[in-house]
Amino acid sequence: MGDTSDGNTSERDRGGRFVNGGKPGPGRPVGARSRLGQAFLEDLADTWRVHGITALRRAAVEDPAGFVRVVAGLLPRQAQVDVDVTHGIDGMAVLTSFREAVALLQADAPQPPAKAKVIDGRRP
Amino acid sequence: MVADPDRHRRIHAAAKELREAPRAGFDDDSALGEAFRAAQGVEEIIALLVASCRAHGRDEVEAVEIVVRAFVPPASREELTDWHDVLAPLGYGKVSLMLRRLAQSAPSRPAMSVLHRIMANRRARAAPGGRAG
Repeated sequence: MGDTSDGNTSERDRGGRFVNGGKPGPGRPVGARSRLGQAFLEDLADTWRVHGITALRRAAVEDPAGFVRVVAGLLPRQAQVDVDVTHGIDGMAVLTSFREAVALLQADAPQPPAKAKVIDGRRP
Repeated sequence: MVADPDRHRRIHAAAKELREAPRAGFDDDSALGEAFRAAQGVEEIIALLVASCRAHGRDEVEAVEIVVRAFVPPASREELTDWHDVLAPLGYGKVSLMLRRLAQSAPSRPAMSVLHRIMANRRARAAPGGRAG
């Protein structure tokens, strides 16, 4: 292990330690650190995507089913004495009403003023 | 607003629990589960949660605050304000006030922008005609 088989590596003693005044090694290849960082972040991104149930906000949009399990985790715990917790309301009706209400509000919202027509955009 | 340390502690503990150990075994085939799956945004999920809480006499503000505080990454000020702006005119007064209160101390911009950038790069690479490498 202490031998340096390739010619351009640093000078070491029999124990593999660097020798004082010896030739320095080739060092870190250019870009190696950033590649490592990128790989780490990509791994992290993979983990984040796989375990998206903890990334609640994103999951709410991209993985509603996973999000539901998390959100609904609130309900059974408080409702162990109330078995009918998931049957007490018509969720789809609530959702439909909510969407209709949002659509109505958006329809009633004042329209932004139309942009003034630019006749000649050139500066003098 | 009246400060209630016990309530505050309870909300933070529940949010932490929700964040770290989501409960399993939810009945996905239930009517409520179906509605949650059909929800297309956080506002709709909040509306369902509020409806469920109202139907069962629970504290809707507390339930929504737990969910919002459990978000990873945390909800940004802009998102909280957007949710507030949708829910307030619809009569979700208490929940809207809570969202506005949370917005005051929320991060001004969404976190994890690096990851978002990486995901966007990946999507660009994966797309037909996307750049290589």
